[in-house]
Amino acid sequence: MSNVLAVMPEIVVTVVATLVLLVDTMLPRRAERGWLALLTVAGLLVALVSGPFVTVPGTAFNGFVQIDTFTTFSRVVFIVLAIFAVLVAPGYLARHDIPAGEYYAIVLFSTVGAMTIALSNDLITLFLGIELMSIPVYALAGMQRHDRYSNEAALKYFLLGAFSSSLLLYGFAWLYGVTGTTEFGPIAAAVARTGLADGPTLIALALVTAGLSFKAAVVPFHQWTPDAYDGAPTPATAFMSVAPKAAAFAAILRLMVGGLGPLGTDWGIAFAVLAAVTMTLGNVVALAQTNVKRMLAYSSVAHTGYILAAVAAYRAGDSAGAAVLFYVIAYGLMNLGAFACLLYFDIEGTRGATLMELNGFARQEPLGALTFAIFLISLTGIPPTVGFVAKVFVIQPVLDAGLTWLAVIIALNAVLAAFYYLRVVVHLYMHETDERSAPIISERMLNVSLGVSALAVVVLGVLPDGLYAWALQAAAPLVLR
Amino acid sequence: MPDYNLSYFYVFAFFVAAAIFITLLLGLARLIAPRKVTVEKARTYESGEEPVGQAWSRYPTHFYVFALLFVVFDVEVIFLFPWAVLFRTLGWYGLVEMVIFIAILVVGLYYAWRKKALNWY
Repeated sequence: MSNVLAVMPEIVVTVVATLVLLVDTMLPRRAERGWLALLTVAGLLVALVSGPFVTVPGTAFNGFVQIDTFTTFSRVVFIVLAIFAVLVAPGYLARHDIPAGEYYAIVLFSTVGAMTIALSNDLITLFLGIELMSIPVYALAGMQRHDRYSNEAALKYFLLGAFSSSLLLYGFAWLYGVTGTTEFGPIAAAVARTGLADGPTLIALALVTAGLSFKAAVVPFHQWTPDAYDGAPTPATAFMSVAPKAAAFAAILRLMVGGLGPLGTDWGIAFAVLAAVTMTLGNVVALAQTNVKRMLAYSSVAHTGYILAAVAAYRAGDSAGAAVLFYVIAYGLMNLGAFACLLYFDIEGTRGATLMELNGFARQEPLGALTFAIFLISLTGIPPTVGFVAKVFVIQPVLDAGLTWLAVIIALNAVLAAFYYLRVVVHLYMHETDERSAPIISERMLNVSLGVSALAVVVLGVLPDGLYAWALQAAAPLVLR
Repeated sequence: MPDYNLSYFYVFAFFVAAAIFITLLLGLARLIAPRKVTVEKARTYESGEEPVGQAWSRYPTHFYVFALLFVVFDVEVIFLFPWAVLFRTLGWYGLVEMVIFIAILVVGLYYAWRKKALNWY
């Protein structure tokens, strides 16, 4: 029974997903489905509240599952991201004739997968979580079935995602072969004894790093990202760009820092180089984009680099883990918001607005433009927004770990990124509406949810201490001592 | 050589032995068997059935939904077998778990039915 209680939030989300599907089939074909979003959000809130009440810290299911402060923290992150992703979607889904019930259920199933990653204490649970998180997202990318770009996005995402999963699984097999166990604790003990002395451990480490890098979209494993983000329906992109990335970093923290922590000197330098390459390439390519959705796709690659830099600084201790978690939340809020702001523009198909189509938006929709600008300023990393604080928290452990060169690259990249983010703000505010501007849609649910998350971006930028203290607590159990 | 490396060596030796064996048999057959090619032997179906049309024919993509549902319930059976073997050992706990598992699949089937995935056009 205590096993069941340990995974109560996951069970609640699964039940809600099934319930949403069932209710959806009972509604008449043409019925209004906007309130299904509210049902979904209510279910997610129940899961959020149920967590602290019923779960006790410790392991469950014979060591397959681990409930600790990291699990609790990650659950909250994934549930909050799912709530925002669901709240911004209804209008778009109705306009583009996407089955709403299926959309919400798929988001929920993916959230269960992400939560499973956060509670994994074993390679098998981890892989189960990664697959449960990824497979629904492939379907999400292809929800706009009659759009060619959506099909392309789903196919590319699926093929490369399946490829990366197999790499990861092969790496797990090698890891099991080397250590003789699938549990993280004993794996850490085994690799601490042997180090990288033998070839098989190196192969396992390389395969696992490549597999997880695919999932998090680290350069050079990022090629699927722009097409998948660009082609997917916009609310799906908003969800895809944050939740799977947060989950991938949860997996990296659990497996690399937790299970393979003793090999940190080996993967740490690899991650530092990958982080530098990732943020630089993401930013440089984003400079050249005229389609805002594609630009944000490349910018999300760049942000992966910043988060990875904090992982590479694992030597700095808990502050590195806390920086990863804090950045993941900051990135989740501002990136989901920025993609969701593209929902204001009514454009055929799944392609996002081009810069010209944004012209004069501030005149027609002052509040919408303000939230969009706040998200972009936060993505740039300008105070008083959460994006700025998150970058500070990342640079600190990077310096503490002695990676001064990486800190310099982060700072230079922030300057580079300012150009293309602020160019969007210029088009929003300093251009008159002309014949190229896209028609605008205003919905109350979209306005309110974007307003709340923009407010959160500013408030967390001014008062980050509470959240950071919580992130520090959550990072503490990661390093197996 | 450690034990596990030795067992890989056996697998390798097996491959080599299999390759030599097959080459030997096929080569021998080629050397000593008489060859008489007739029209009947060259046909696609020696039984006399005449092939009609191309092998690359088009058929309804609708089959894919059925195939997908079939795979789901096929996998379900694979999970049922070990449970059936250990039915007494697992007792009520196992029974309840299985009922939950099957209930989830039944919801899926119900959904497919309500969405008219089981209808033929």
